[in-house]
Amino acid sequence: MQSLSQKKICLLYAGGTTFGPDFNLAMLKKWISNSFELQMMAQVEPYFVWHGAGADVPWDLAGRLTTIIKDNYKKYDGFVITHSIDNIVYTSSLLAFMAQNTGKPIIFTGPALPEENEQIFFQQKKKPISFGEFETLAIKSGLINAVQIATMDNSEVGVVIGNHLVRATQAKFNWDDPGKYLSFFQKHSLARIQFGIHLNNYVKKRHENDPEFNGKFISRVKILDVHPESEADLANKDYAGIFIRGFQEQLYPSRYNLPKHIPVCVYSQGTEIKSDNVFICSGINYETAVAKFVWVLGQTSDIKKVKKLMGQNLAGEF
Amino acid sequence: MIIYLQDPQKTEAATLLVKSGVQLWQKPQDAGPMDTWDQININPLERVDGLLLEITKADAQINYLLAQAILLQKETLCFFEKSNPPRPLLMYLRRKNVPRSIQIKSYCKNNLKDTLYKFVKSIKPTLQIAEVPNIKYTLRMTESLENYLNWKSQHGKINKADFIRDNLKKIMEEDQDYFKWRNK
Repeated sequence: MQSLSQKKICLLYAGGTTFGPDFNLAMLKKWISNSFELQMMAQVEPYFVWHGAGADVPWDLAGRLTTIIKDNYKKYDGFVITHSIDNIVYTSSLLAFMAQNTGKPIIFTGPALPEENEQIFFQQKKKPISFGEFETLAIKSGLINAVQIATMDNSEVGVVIGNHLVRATQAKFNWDDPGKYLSFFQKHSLARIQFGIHLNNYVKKRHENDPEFNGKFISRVKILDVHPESEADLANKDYAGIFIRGFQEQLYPSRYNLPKHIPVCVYSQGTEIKSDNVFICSGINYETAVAKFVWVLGQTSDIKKVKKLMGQNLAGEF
Repeated sequence: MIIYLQDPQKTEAATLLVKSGVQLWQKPQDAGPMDTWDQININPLERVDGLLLEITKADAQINYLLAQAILLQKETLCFFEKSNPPRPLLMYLRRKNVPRSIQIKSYCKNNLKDTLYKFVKSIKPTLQIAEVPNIKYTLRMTESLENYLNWKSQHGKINKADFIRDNLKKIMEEDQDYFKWRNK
């Protein structure tokens, strides 16, 4: 179906709403072509990147998405990525570090409905469903919003959360508010979605400068949570770095046996440094800090440089 | 009944609809505090009964609203100046796969009111549109009728024009022959 708009949007399917277990690129293309609503706003061209359970998403997905965006950067006016709620904040944050200074928007959107509901929905319908049939569910028109935002004057790597657009490095999981999966750090909304979409004036505008794509990362990172009687015997393990969600004063229990030759990043507001390879990370969203650590380790293994990069504002994370 | 109106041409639509008793949403504040919508995590467009979109100068915002209207299966009237049709959008909206909930109508100054009221009535047939008595009517009275009107106005605490209109309306509403004729 020909679009009403001249804007070209690349839709990267990386999970989220599935249309059955055998969903594939041909089905995705057909679905896009029949989605009158999407074609109203832009010429949407789909790429099939990932199709699996949200909880199984690997770090590498961000790298694959970055490669496709890099290879097709000049071809499109913006990029939209569908992604399961599980892991969306990790993938989007990591991608924000991998694709810096982009002059075009890269917008993530969650699924039209939670996966468990989705299964029930499919069982009840017993036939292919159209996009419009999701309309009564909670996170409904996210894709339309994301496509519209991707056509607008901004160059953010963002996530559509409810009625807001949030910078990817500010998006976080929500543990406090029942029924809402995601929230955002420091309450900085880039755009409000009400009758239309209203970008705030501090949104980064489109630009023609060269983007910096760097998809290197290292996933050999041990991520720990401290709690009473927690143990960590990691001195002889083959990790590139250790990330600890620590206590607020003494960071982690003295019984922890940590290596001295790799970076140990402690997410805490404490100040007590226990070793030369240990440093504190604060003032940043937890999930973003983890993703950033994974990316930074891909750039350098030098502990001082890792510490320095972790403290710099690279993608609007602080 | 809540109608969302997008009217970049600034026609008389808003005035006509408000006068007719329709609750109109045009800007975010009309829907109440944003926090309320954040709490329930829905777009306020989901709560309107219909959309009125002036599409003479269609733009990306109109396209977006139309996409939302289609997705939400909202009754929508796209209206445009008869003398200035937005041809690319009209060609698009006249395709087979456009849902029936999307109506398209041209208007001129004389029929805008009828166009809007018909749409509003199509969403909610039971809605009593508060008509505005804006047609001037000169009427000669007999002396006895004038005396009666004066007395009624003073003792009934109603102005003379309202009294005449109310009674005429009552006669009209009970006149089955008239309705049969009108519905032919």
